[in-house]
Amino acid sequence: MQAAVRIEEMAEESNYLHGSLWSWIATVDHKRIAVMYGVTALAFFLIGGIEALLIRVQLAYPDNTFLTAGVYNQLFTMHGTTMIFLVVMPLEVGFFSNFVLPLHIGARDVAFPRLNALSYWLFLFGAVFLHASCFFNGAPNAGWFAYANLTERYFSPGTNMDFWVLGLLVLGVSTMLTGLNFLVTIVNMRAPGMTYMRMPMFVWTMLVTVVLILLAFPALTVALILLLMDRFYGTHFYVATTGATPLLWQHLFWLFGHPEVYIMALPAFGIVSEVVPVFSRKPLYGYPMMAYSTALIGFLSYGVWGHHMFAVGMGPAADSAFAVTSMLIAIPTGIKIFTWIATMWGGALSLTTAFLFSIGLIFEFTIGGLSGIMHAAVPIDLQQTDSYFVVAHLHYVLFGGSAFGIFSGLYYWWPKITGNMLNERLGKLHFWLTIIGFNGTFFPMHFLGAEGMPRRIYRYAPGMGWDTWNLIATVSAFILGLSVAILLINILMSLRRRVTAGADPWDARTLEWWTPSPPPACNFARIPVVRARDPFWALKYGRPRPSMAPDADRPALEASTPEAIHVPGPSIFPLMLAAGVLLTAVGAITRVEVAVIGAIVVLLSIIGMSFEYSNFGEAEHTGVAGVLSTGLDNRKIGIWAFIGSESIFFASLLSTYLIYKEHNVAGPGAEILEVPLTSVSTFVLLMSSLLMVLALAATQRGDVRWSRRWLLGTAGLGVIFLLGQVYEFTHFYHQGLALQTNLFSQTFYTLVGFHGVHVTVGVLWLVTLAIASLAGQLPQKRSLSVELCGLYWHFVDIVWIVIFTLVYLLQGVKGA
Amino acid sequence: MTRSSRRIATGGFVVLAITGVAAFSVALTRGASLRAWEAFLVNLLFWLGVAQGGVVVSASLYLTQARWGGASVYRLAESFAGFLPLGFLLFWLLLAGQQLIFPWVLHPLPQKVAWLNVPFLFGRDGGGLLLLTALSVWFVYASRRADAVEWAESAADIELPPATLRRLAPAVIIIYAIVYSLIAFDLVMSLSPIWYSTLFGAYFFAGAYWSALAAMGVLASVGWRPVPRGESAEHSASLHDIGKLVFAFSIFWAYLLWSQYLPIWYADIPEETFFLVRRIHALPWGVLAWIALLLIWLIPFIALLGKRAKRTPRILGAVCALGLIGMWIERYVLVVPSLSPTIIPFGWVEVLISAGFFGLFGLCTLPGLRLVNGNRGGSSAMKQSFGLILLWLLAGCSTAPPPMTTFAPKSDFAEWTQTLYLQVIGWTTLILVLVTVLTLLAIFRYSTRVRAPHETPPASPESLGLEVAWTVGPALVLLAIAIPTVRTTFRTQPAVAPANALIVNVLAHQWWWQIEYPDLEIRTANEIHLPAGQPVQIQLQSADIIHSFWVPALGGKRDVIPGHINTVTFIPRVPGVYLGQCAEFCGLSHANMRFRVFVDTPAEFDTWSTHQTAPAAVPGRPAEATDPVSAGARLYAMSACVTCHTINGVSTQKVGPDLTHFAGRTTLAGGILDNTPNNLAGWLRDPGALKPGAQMPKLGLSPEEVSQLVAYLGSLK
Repeated sequence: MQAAVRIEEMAEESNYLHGSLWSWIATVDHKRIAVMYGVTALAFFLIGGIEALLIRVQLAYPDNTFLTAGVYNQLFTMHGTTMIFLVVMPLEVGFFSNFVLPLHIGARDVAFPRLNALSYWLFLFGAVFLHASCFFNGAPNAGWFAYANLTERYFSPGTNMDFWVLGLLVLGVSTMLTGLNFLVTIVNMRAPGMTYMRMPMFVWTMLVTVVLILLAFPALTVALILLLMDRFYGTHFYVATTGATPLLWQHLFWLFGHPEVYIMALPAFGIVSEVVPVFSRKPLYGYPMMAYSTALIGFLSYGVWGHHMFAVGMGPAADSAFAVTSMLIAIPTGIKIFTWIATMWGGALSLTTAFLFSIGLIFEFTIGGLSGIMHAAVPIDLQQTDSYFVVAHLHYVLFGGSAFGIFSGLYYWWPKITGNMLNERLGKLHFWLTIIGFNGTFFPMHFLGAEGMPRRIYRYAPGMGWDTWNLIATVSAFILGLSVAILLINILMSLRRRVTAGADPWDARTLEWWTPSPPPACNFARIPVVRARDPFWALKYGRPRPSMAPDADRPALEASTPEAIHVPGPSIFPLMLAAGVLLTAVGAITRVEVAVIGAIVVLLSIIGMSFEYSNFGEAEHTGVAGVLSTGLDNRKIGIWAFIGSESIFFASLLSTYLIYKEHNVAGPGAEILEVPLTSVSTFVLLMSSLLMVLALAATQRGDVRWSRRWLLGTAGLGVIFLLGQVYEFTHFYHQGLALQTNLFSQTFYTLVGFHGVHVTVGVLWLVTLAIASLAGQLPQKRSLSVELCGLYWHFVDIVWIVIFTLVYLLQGVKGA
Repeated sequence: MTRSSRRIATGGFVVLAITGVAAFSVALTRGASLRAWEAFLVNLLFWLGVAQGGVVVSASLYLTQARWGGASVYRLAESFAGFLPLGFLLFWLLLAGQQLIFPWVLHPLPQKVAWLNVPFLFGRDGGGLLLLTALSVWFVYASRRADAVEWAESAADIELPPATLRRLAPAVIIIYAIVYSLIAFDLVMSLSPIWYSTLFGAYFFAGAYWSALAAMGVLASVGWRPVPRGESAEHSASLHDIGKLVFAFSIFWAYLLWSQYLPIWYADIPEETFFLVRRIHALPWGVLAWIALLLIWLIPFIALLGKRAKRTPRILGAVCALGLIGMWIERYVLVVPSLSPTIIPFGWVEVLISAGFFGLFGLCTLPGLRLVNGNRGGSSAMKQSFGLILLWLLAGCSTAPPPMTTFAPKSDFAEWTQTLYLQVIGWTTLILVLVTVLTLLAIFRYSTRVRAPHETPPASPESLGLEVAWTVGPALVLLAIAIPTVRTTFRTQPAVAPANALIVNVLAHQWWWQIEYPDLEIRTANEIHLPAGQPVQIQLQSADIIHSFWVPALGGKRDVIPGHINTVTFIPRVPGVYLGQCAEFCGLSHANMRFRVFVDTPAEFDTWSTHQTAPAAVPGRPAEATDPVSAGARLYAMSACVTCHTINGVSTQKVGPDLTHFAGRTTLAGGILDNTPNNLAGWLRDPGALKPGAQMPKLGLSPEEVSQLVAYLGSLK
C-alpha cells in the first residue's frame, strides 16, 4: 500500500477544490466541471421547486385566483423544462458521471477535457438565457412539450417561445457534446484490464445513456430548427393549411422524448446498482443480465414514442403496435427491480441514507412503472392521458426514479467529492420527509386523474370531487419542500463542520474509493490494473471467485508502472466559445449585429482552441489518454460517434422531406428539380472523395507536397459543388420558389441547405489543414488529422448520395 | 334505501372504520399489541369469511341453476364481495404481527419448519387468496353482466347459465375449499402448532359459508329482500328459501363439529384432546363455546323449523343476526385460547377493532347492495359500483361519484375500457404487492440490526432458473394484458361508423366547442344532446390549434387536430348529464374549455332536436317597442354582436357560438358559467375577466344595454 501513502500526501498538495476563481473559470478538470454542474443544477433545482410550489398553491382550492392564467402557464412550462433539462440531466450526466465516470474506469480525465468545459459553459449560458425570458416578455408558456401549432408565431406572438427554442437548441448541443465525450471516454479510456464486463454497472448505464443522447437529441434538434424557421423565417412546417401537419412535431419530439425518459432514468438505475451492493456487502446479483437489460431498454426506447400519441388517432393497428413495444420495456425493467432485490437478499444491509433512497427508488419507481403499463394499454391510456394520472405517473418515474437516485448518489459520493461526511441523522430525516411529502403530493394525483381532472389547467370548478386531493397534494408538496431545506442544511453543515471521510468510508467496491477523498487533480497516482469486477473490494478482501476473473492468479488490483502524470492545462476558449453561442442566441431575438458578433467570437474561439497547444492539439489527447482501450485515437472514435449522431439528424430531415413532398398544396413541387445538372455536381462531389483518399495516402507516406495539393483539390471540388448549389437555388428562386413558397420549397431548401452547410464546414476544415501543412504542422505522424477530416468528408458525400437518390432521382415516385 | 339513509349509513361506517383503525394503532403502541393482533385476526377471519362465503353461495346457486330469487338473490350474495380486495390487503398486515400471532416464528418447531415458516406460509396463503379473490371478482363481474341477469330472471327451465359462469362457478367453489382449508390450517390451527386435524379445514369453511347465508338472511329481513322479476315483495317466497338454506347449513355446520368431536373424544389422544378440552370443557372458554353452539345451531334449528318463522322477517332476521354473533364468537374461541389460554381478553380493544371491521365491511358492501332490486339488468350501474369499490379502495371514502370520474362508464366504449382497466389494475396491484413484500422481507431479514455489521455474506449463486422466472413471469403477465388490450383497441376504434349512427360534427375553437348535426341541420355550442341507445359518431375538427375531446363517462380522449378529421364512436347507454373538458393544453384559457353531453331518452331527444330546428324567437312587439326584449333585439342587430354570432333570421357570422337557441342551453362561455341572467350580464360586461384571452371583446356596454341584451338573449329559448 505504499502507493496509497504517497498519494495521500499528493492529495494534500493538489486538492482539486482549492484554487483561485480564475483557475475555476479556465478549468478543464472533470472534477471541477462536475462540481460546477452540481452547484448550477442545484440552484435550478431550487428554482424549479419554487415554481412547483407556486403551482401547488394555485391548485390548493377550486377557482383560486392566486395566479393568473398567463403566469400559471409560464410556471408549469418552466417547471418541466427546468427540471428535465437543467436539473435531472445535468445532475446525472453533468455532475455524477463527470465526477465518477473517469474514477470508475481508472482514468485521469475524460477523453476531451476542453470539450467537457465547453459543455458546461453552454449549459450554464443556455440555462441563464432560458430564464432571462422572465425579464422580457415573460417566460415560455406553451408547455415543456411545446406542441405545434400552438407554438407558431400566430398563436404565440411574444418572445416567450423564442427563448425556449433557442435555449433548448443550446442546451441540446451541450448535452450532445457531453454524450460524445463520455462515449469516447468509456470506450477508450478504461484502465488496463477493465473489460466491458468488469465495468461498474453505473458505467454501463452511462454507456447506454450517452448512446441514447447521441441518437435521440438530433431528432429534437431538427424539430427545434423547423420550429425556429417557422417562427423566424415564416415557413410553415407545422401549419395544417399548407398541407403540413402539427403532428410532425409530436413525432419528432417524442422520438427524442421517450429515449429522454431513459436518459433520465438509466443513470439513476446505475447509481442504485452501485449503492445496493455496497450497503448489502454483496456483489451485484446477475451482472450480465443487468448489463444486457440496460442495453435492451435503450434499444427498445426508440420503438415506443407512439404511446405518447394514442389520442391523436393513429389508428388501432399503429396503436396496438406501440402498445406491445411499450409493454415489452417492462420486462428488462422488471429484471432490474428483481436483480436489486436479489442483491439485497442474504446480504448484510446497513440502512444508510444513501441506501434508503435506493430502496425508496425500487419501491416508488415500481409504482411509476406499473402505471406506465396502464398507459401502454391504449383504451386505458385514452382515459388517463393528459389527466392528472399522467402527472402522478411521470413524477413517480422522474422523482421516484431519477430524483431518488440522485439523492442516493449524493449521500453516497458526497464524501468522495468533498472529503467530508453528510450527517446521517439529518439524512434520514430528509429521507422520511421525502417519502411522506412525495407520496402525499403525487399519489393523490392518481385519484385526481381517475376522477377526470385534466392536466395543465390553472383552475378547476368546485364540486368536481377534486378539492380534497388537491389540498392534500399541496400540503404534502410543502413537506417535500421542507425535506429539500433539510438537505440544504445538511450540505451547509457538512461544509462548515467538517467530519473527515477518509478514502473509503463505506467499505466500498469500486476504484474511486481507492484514491483519497477528495481525489488529487490527477485522480490516481498510478493507473490501476484491473483483474476483476469490483476491483477495490477484491484488493481489500482477497481474490475474487475464479469464474469472475480468468487471470485470478494475479492480484486483483495493482498499479501500472509509474509514468509522467500529465494533467491538461487550463483553457479559456471553452468559455469564450460558449459566450459566442450565447451572443448569437441573444442576437437572434434582439439585433442581427449581436448575432454576427457572436458568430465571430465562436469562430475565433475555435481557431484559438485549434492552435492553443504548440503541437496542434496533439498533447491534449496523447497526454491524458495514457491508456487507449481500443488502441484507436480518442478523436477517431469521437468522429465516428459524431457521424452516428449526424446520421439521425439527416434521417430526421430526410423523413420530413419524404413525408411532406406529397402533401404540397400549391406551387411547384419536386418536378422542378433538374437531374442532369445535379448529376454533374454529384459527380464532382464524388470525385472530391477520391482526392480526399489520395490526400490521406500522401500524408501517411509523408509526401507533404502532394498531401497539400490533394487537400486543396478536395476543397476546390467542394467549392464547385457549392457553387452548383448556389446556382440551383438562385435558379429556383427566380422560378418563384422562395423558402416560404410552399411545403416542398421549405423542406427541400432545409434539407439540401443543411447539407450545404456541412460541405462548407468541410471545405473550411480542408483549407485549415492545407494551411497547417504550409506551416509545416502536418507531418507524417499527424496524418490522423487528415484522416478525421476525411471521415467527415466521406460521410457528407454519402449523405449527398442518399439525398440525390431519394430527392432527385426518385422525385416522381410516390412514397419514396 | 333512500339516498339520505345511505349517506347516514356511509357516515356511520366511516366513523366506525376510523375508530377501529385508531383503536388498532393505539392498542399496538400502548402495550396491548397481542390483544390487538388477536382481535385483528378473529375479525379478518370472520369478515373475510362472510365476504368470500357470499361469492361461494352465489356460485353454488349457479351450480344448482337456482332461479327462485331472480337475479337479486345473486346480487345480495355477491354484495359482500366488495370487501374481498380490502380483506386481501389486510391479510398482508399479518406480516407485521407475525411474531405475536404465530408461536412458531420465535420458537420454530423442528419437525414442522418446512411447512411453518413465514415466507412459505404467506406465499401459499397470499397466493391462494390472490387467486381466489381474482376469480371471485371475475365471477361477480360476469354474474352482473346482462346475459347472466337475463338467465336468472327467465322462466325457461332447460336453459343453462352463461358459459363463463358455468366454468367459473365450480372453479370458485373448489378453490374456495382448498384455500380456506389452508387458511384454517395456517391462520388458526398453527397457533397451536402441535395440534392436528384434517377435518378442520372443511369445518372452518363450512362455517364461513354459513355466516354468509346468515348475513343474507339479516339483509333480506331488513329491506333487501330478493324479489324475482314480476313478483311482488309481499308474496315472494325468497325469504322462505333463504331461511331454508340457513337452517340446512346450520345443521351441516353442527354435523361437521360433531364429526370432529366424536373421533377425538373416542380416540382420547392427549395431543388431540387438549385443544377441545381447553375450548369446550374448561373454564373460562367453555362458556363461550356453548354459547356459540347455542347461537349457531340450537336456536336456528328450533326457531326455523317451521315454515312461518322462515317467512317472518323479524324472526328470520333475529335468528340470523344472533347466528352471526355466534359465528364471531366461534372464530374467537378458535383463535384466542391458543394465545391466551387462561383468561378471556375482552375489552375496548376487541370491541373497537371489531367495530372498525364492521365499518369497513359495511362501506365495501353498500355499493353492491344498491344493485339488489335496483337497476336490474343495467350492467353499467353494476360496473359503476364495482369501479366505485375499487376507487374507494384507492381513494378512501368518497361515496358520491365525482362528476368526471373515469370509473362510471355510461357508454359501450367506456364500459369496454373499464373492463380492461380493472384487469390491468388487478395485475399491477399483484406485481406491486409482490415487489413490496419481497423488498420489505429483504430489509427485515437482512438488515445489520439482525446480522453482524461487518459480516461479509457470500455472493448469491447465479441461478439461471431464477433469472428465467423473473423474465418469463412478467412476460406472461404482459401477454395477459396485451391480448385484451389489442382486442379492446380495435373494438373501440371501429373503421366505419354503424349505418344508423348519428353524426355530430364538433369544431373546437380556442376556447369553446361548436356543435353541428349535419343530418338534422342543428347548430349549437358547448352542449351536445344524444339519444340513449343509438350509435353516435363524433367527428372532430379544429378551427385553430390542437385540442382534445373528452367525456370520461362516455369514453377516452380523442385529439382534435388541424388538418385531420378524427372520430369517436360509441353508444351512450344511460340517460344523464355528463361533463367534458378539453384535455390538450391549448393556450391561455385551456382550463376554461368545458362542455356537457346530455344523453336523452329517444323521445326527449326528438323534442329537443325539433325545437332546435325551429326558427329563433322573435320579440312579439313591433320594432319601436321599449320593453327590454325588443330593445335588446334592436341593440343586438345594430351592435358588434352580429359580426361574430349567428341568430337565424338576424345574423349569420360563425366566429362565435350560434345564439339562435341560446336560452335553451344550461351554460355559457365554454361551459364555465351557468346560464343565468347575472352570469350573462357579467360576461357581456367583460368577457376577458371571466375567461382570460377570450376572443369576444369588451364591448363597453352601458348597464342598461347589458340588461336589454340579457333580456333578449334570455328570450331565445
